[in-house]
Amino acid sequence: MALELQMATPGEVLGSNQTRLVDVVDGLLRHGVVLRAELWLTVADVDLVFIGADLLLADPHKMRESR
Amino acid sequence: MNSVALGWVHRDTALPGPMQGLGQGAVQTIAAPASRCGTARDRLALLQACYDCGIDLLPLSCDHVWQINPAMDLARQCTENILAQLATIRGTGQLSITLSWSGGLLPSDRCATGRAWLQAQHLRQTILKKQSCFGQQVMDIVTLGLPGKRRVFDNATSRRLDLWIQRQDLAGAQAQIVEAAQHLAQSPLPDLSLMITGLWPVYGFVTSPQPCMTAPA
Repeated sequence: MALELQMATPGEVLGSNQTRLVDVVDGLLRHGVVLRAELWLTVADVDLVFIGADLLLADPHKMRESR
Repeated sequence: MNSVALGWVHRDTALPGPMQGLGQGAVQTIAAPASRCGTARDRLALLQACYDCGIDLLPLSCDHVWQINPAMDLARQCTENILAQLATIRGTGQLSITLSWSGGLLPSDRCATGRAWLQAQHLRQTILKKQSCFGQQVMDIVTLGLPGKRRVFDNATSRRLDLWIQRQDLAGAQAQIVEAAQHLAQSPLPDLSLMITGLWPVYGFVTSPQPCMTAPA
């Protein structure tokens, strides 16, 4: 029965493999700005198709392997 | 040099190496050599290095590797939006507070009969619900009265609260949380762990500028 208190600077968190600190990092990684490409294909002022995609940098070979 | 985009800063911001600012407009894209950004943790560390220099930055999500050109295009197309966000987050940071509790008392999933398994699942859900409710109350107590916007994320055995505060308020906020936690520790509590980390760039309080491009008819 206890309340354990731990304080850590970002440097300590980033340099640690402690599960709790890794969870903190994982929580941060999922946030921030996400780049989105948005494209409306338009013909004669009529919106026909909307394309949205995240703009990632990836090795095409690795992308094919991961399929 | 193959580079990766990490975020945006005001023009003429001096960035620590190996980062450099790219772009001609009012907003610079933070670029880093791809060879130094192999993992998400690397990218988080590089952004943190900028932030620790006192730089106000709009961070890109670190769990992806972002191309430089789209980031620079976005900086050109959405300059006003990015400048407005940079103005909003000026001098601020994110304090992350995580409260974890033990899930060790949960009943096992391995049961001899279907009936026993259903009963175990019901008991498991009841315990988790009670623990979550308790965690919420403890988190409310330790963060009571702290200034700034907050975002809360729950899972089965923890609750994380991101607090958006001024850089200069860090010590005061930490002291207030520690005092509340020490006060709570005098009460009979189940095993809890309270983790305070920061300051981080404001990952949880920024929005994505989204340009709209129209193809020629």
